[in-house]
Amino acid sequence: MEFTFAAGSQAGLQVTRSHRALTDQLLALEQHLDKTNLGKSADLLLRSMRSLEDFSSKDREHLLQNNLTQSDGDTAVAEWLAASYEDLARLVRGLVSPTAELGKIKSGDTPGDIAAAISLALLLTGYATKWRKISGQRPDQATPQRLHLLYKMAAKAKVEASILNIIIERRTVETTIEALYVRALLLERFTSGNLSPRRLEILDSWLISWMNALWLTREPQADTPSLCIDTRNESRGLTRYTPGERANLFLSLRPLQRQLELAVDDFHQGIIFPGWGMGIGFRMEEHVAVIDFLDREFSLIANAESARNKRFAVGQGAEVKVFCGFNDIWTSALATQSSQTQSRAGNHVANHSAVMSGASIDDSPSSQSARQASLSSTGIFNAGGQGTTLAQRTPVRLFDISDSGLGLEMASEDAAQVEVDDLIAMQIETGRPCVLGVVVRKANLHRQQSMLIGVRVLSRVPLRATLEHVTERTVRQTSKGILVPGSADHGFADSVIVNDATFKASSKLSVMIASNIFHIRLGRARHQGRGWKLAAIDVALAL
Amino acid sequence: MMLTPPLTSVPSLGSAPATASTTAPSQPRSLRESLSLPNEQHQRGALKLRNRYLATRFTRFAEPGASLSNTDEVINWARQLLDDEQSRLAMELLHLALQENPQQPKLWLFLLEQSFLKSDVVQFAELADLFLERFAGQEIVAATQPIIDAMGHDMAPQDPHYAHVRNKGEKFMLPNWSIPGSLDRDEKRQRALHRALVEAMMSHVSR
Repeated sequence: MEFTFAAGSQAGLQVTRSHRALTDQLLALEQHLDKTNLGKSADLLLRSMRSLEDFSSKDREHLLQNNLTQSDGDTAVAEWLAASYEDLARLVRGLVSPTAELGKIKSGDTPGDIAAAISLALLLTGYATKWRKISGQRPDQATPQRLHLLYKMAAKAKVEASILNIIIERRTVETTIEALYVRALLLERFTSGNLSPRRLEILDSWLISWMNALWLTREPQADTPSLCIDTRNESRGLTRYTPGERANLFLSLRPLQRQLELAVDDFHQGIIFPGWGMGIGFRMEEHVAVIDFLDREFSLIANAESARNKRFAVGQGAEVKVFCGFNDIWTSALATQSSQTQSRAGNHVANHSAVMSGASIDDSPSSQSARQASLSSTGIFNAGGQGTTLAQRTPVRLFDISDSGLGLEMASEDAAQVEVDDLIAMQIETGRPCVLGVVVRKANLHRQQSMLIGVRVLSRVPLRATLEHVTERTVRQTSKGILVPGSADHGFADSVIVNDATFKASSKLSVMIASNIFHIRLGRARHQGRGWKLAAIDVALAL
Repeated sequence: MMLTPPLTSVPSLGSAPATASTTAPSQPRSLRESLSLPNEQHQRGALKLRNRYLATRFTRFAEPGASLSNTDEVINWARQLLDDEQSRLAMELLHLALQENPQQPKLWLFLLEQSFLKSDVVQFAELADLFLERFAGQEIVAATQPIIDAMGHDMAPQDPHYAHVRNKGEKFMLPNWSIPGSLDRDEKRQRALHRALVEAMMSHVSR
């Protein structure tokens, strides 16, 4: 049995009878699999996957071309796709496990059959991971375990390094089970962040093109940063390697960096890398965003040993406190900071007392920031307005998290108050400093009346500061600032966030940091949003 | 997708990967290749895509495509990117500028100094060869070659290329080829601020 359909459904997508019929056939497929003949059954599932791809090609194209305006119907189709890929993957895994477990190979099964089945399962699991993300579902926590099991079975059958030719998007790609395992794990890692569907699709086509660089070692390579895998740990996929970490497989970063450089070279020559796939029709901004994303991820991996880049120790679904807008973050999120970064006028300002007859030059909160402040002054968004009690408030939850970014699941009414490029602070771990970030993405989450807010992390330890304007006047004005230290020791990457008025005033500012007084000037704006600027710091004087 | 039986077995974990993937270039281009404009680029479509890429990649700079031959501007931008901890982007900008117009000796020197700071011996040697070859006989070579040699010797004292270096072992001043002359920078003060920030952060985290 094999299911085939002439055409998929289109236009403002809906899950149609055809989709449901296909699901029914797919579920019925299990009864038709000959578990005594791995090769034949794997081939049947392979043809079924190709039928699914043919049937859904227009759906997938529609979903990726319109990912910013996904309707409920669109999301339902994306969910259906994710479920279909996972159903097929489950069927293949069911075939493989009794065969290859413990290295026992049935007499009729050739190593080629086993390799074909396991590689199909890995490929499908990767697709399922990707489409779960595109459909707005949380990552499946069982994915690492499934992938590790498949890889271990391949290793026991001694086929993990066998070369296979697979056809993806009508192109033959030479690969190995090992490379497919790494591709699926990298997808699993990169979907835990703020990549949009289009960017995820581009990234997947890059990973497929980089198959010859996706290889593992049993020892970390000296003098080069690596990711690592502990195949005995069912809940962990690829993580940054730090010495002492329990792991038995390693992925060196250098080949990946080299592949990225080659991809960038192609763009320099006017070629959209890799030159095939749905991504080729996407805007240049999407491709450049993937380069930026990988640059950032690789850089974080390379700096894994830095204490400041310690991995977040919380899981998805955790409730987090959220503060939005420059004023509210300074006033509430960073309120517990006191003596480390004050002006000489220090604590008075921290307590909102005027230190001089003239008021601070910080503007009074705008209507927008006032609204945000009313929403978040307690650290939890309040969808119901002032009359709502604490018990009625909708908590903000962590949707997913990576080293460079995170996703927040927020009630739609609350999310409406947040825009791309807004500043946002989150208390992710109790007792730890708030993490400061900038909103980079908003997307609907299906059937939950909630939205996904994608955040790029600016600093794990932002520092509240009171900046004193250095003028000839006897009464000095002050401004609020949030110091964002860079990671380079040279200090030229250090920045401060100020409001527009302070930035425009362009005066010399005095700030006390850890008992030292510095006179600084604001340099160029490295990043900006509504009402705030992240300015480079130029030190004029250190006392 | 169609799977075919294994063709052969490649060495397992810890060895080189299987080669001959279909789409990706598997071998890195040499520096010489990556610094030259490919013929295809002169085709209208490719040139258009390259320019679109440039405009998208370097959004913070006005008309990057048109300014790649303006050496001072490129040096300023590259320095800003380095200060912003975007080293890869800075190097990319310099490469693009040299692709556009390789007759910009200051950009070669900028790259040489960065290779030296990163202790990238191989890239330094390759860049040095290309620079000396391109500007052979010119004043800029006479003025900079002793410094380039001293830097090379400092990184690779055993390398016979630098055997002729005089004053071996003597400390030399970094030429600051990657810092625009117009910039007033006080590294000491800036480092002091950074140290204070790190201290404040540590104190905050440990509370």
